[in-house]
Amino acid sequence: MLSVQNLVRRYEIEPGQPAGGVFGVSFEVKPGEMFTLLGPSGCGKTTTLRCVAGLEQPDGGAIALAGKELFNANSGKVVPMYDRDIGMVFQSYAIWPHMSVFENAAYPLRVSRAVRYSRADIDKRVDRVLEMVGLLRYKKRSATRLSGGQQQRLALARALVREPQLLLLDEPLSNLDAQLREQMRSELKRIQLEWGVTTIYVTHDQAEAMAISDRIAVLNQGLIMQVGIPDEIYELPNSEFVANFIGRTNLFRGKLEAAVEAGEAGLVNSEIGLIRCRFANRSTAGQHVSFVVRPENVELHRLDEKAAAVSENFIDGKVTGRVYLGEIAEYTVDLDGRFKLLARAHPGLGIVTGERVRVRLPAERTIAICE
Amino acid sequence: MDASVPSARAGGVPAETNGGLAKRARLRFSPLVFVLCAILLVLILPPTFFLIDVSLHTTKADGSFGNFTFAYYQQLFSSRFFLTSLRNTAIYAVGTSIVAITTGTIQALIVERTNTPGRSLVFLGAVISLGIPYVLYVVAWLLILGRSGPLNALLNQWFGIEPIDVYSMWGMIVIEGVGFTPLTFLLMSSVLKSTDASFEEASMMSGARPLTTFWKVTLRMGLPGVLALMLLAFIRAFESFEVPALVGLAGNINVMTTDIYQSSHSTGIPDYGESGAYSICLLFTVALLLLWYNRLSKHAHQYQTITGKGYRPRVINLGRWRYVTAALLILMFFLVTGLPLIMLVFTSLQPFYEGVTADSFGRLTLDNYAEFLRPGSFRDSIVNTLILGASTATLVVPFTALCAWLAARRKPGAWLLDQIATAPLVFPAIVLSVAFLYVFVNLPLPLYGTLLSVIIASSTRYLPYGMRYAYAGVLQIHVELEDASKASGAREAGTFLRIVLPLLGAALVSSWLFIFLLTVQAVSLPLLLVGPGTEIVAVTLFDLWQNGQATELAAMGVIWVALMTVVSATFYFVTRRYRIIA
Repeated sequence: MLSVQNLVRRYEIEPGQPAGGVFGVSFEVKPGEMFTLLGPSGCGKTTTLRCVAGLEQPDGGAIALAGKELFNANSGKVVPMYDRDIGMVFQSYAIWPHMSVFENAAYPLRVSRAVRYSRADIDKRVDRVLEMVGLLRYKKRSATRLSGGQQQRLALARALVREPQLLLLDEPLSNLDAQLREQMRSELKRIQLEWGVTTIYVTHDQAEAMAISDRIAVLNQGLIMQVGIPDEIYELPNSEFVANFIGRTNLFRGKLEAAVEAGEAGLVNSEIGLIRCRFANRSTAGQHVSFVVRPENVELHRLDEKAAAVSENFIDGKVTGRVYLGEIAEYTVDLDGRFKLLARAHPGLGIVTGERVRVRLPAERTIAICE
Repeated sequence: MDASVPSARAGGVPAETNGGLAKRARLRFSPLVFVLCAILLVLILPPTFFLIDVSLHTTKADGSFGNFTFAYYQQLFSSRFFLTSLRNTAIYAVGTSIVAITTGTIQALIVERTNTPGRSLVFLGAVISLGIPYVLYVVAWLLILGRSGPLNALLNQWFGIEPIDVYSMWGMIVIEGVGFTPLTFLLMSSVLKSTDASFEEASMMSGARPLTTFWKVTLRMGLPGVLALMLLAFIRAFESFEVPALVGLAGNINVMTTDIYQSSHSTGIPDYGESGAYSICLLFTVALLLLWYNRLSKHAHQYQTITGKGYRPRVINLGRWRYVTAALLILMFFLVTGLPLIMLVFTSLQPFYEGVTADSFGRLTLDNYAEFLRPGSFRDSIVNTLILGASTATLVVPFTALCAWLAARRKPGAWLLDQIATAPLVFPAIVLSVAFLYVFVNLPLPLYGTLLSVIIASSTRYLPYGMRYAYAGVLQIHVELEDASKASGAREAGTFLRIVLPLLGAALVSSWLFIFLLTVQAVSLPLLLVGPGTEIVAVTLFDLWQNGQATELAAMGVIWVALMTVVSATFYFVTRRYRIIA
């Protein structure tokens, strides 16, 4: 549906200000998909979005929507933003204060040149979209008299009213309070599914991205680090950055003992001992690797007779902290004073601070990263 | 070149929520606030008092007050002359504000919202024009448009048209309107800058083309701001003096400010009562207009939503049309700044002024500049002016910094400081000049005609401007920075000296330069106050023109502009560097 090839947008370096931008970003968005650009602030996600929208002109690369070229640096083709047939929800919502709710939503139809909408048609379409976002009964109201959540819905209605081929959402939930944010998140997802519109979603909130996206692209310093479905991104991170950015992680470094094929387990001589990990790629002996294991995948054992049954991928340590989180407890395990490891277990396990424990890292869930 | 001073307080003061506490706090005064209030009142009350008093008493031959009378007001309201000049003032102010707003807004839109090449040229023009004394600028235009000027020569030669008369209402409107453009441009562009561009982006993303977006979003949302600015331009024209005095008087078109000037400056015994009554009328009109302006500009700020994301360069791509807009900008730069300067330089190189003819290029001479190499009144007046500007700015800036800080931090009683320090705004310069004239004439101290008297009057006049800069500066300092100082054990004085002042530094430097520039350019304020030996540049230029010494005037003007451009460029870079909104 949308194809972005090798997109480059450099910002001029100003003294004392780091130059941001994107430096060769490529991705494809499938029809009807909710595709998320995720990353810390300054990673280039909003820049990418604005380049797709046409609000910013890239320095290089190509953008095409449904087979139609929107931008191409080589041929110099630039379709202006108003001819791109893309709807966008801004972070500040940008609801025009001098228009009513109805007029805000009707605006895209009123200014349309490609299709001339009749008055009755405009009424019908605006009513439909306002109903969908639950604002129909406010339609005569002045837009300044809407709450934050309502402005957000109106911005969405305005973006969707002319049924664009692509919908862009620029951190749409970041200005809402926590409770409303969760509610709007599922609302957004419902509307997107109902409308079936291909969507690009920009956020820095990984939990939000996990919950809402069909696929996620993780960006860092103007480059895409990894693209995949949320499960993949979480369970099989391909870089230290992605592993650290998404969720809680234990990360250690070492050297691969013997060559492995892709998908096999290999033994790593690491800073916490010999650990067997799963390799996503073919790797050679002696290669420097790091590996990650999520706290909920770490097994925690009391040092009793049963612990003796743990034969591989284990380290002994002492519990130095326990944080009770309700459905789960998070333990900090000190490994011989040099390294710390996070482990999550059922709170009923009964392990207390100060106790010596044996932790096991399951080989199939300990993921090697070769960068 | 005044900024939109009245909007200073309307802009940033957060609404007081704890009403009861504030009321109780207002009843207490700290000794410091008390002293500052007293100083302010000593500056402001005497001129006000004398102005009212003089308009209600007959003047005796020796200048002292006679009997109480309403005669001056009765005379005023029954005279047809007064009505004519009132009507003239209104036409002149409306025309000027329309010209100034149109040209300034067009420039601001092109500069702030499009990718026209050479956009920075407009800022350069605005900066240079900050350094040109207004009287000089008016003179340059009179040279260009005058009967023997190059415009009429061209029209006559090419089209055989009769000479047009610049000493007329249209002449006044065009010269004042174009001269006001740099300011409307700067103010309008700061309005555009502070309005979130995503309102327009949302329109573009809805499929609207740039022109549609401009009509339906930019203009509609900017309307309150434009209206407020228009009213400000109207008020400024209402109280302006240079153009009415240099253009209007020569064409027998009187407005209120020139009426005041003539009645207090006429040969023989000045009619203080009449000029006092005139002044009071003008004062009330301006006060009412300013009140209206304040309400309007509050309304104008409601659409200004700065939403977190900071400034992003965002321009409308005009395609090939950008060369048309570039040509427009160059033309405006040429008209507002280039042409008047060229005309001045040319005139300064002439032994006598006779218009721009083929012969005149054969007579180029540097004689007019040689005058400045000799000691004499020209050099004295430059030195006097520099002393005047520097002293005024140096007095006003620290004083207003303290007042603004006390007011912004809502110290007990400090709201009164803010009110009093902003009060001089309602005095048009010529009215304040008249008022201080009475004060100094009647004071037992020998202040009349001294440079000190001009410094006192200027300091009073520019208090509100200092307040505005300092107030905006203080609002940018987070209260917690001061709280942290107090939590570290510093007292109020220590906090002010060690934390507030250093953080205010850049704002105060630009405030100093701005007040300096305003002070040294003013004609109408010192006009009635200076005496022999205390000549200052702007007044000397004014007098030279009255005496018909155009070439000496031009030479002095060129030297002065060169000096002042350095100051205004410094001002510009300080404000840009530290992001202070000028």
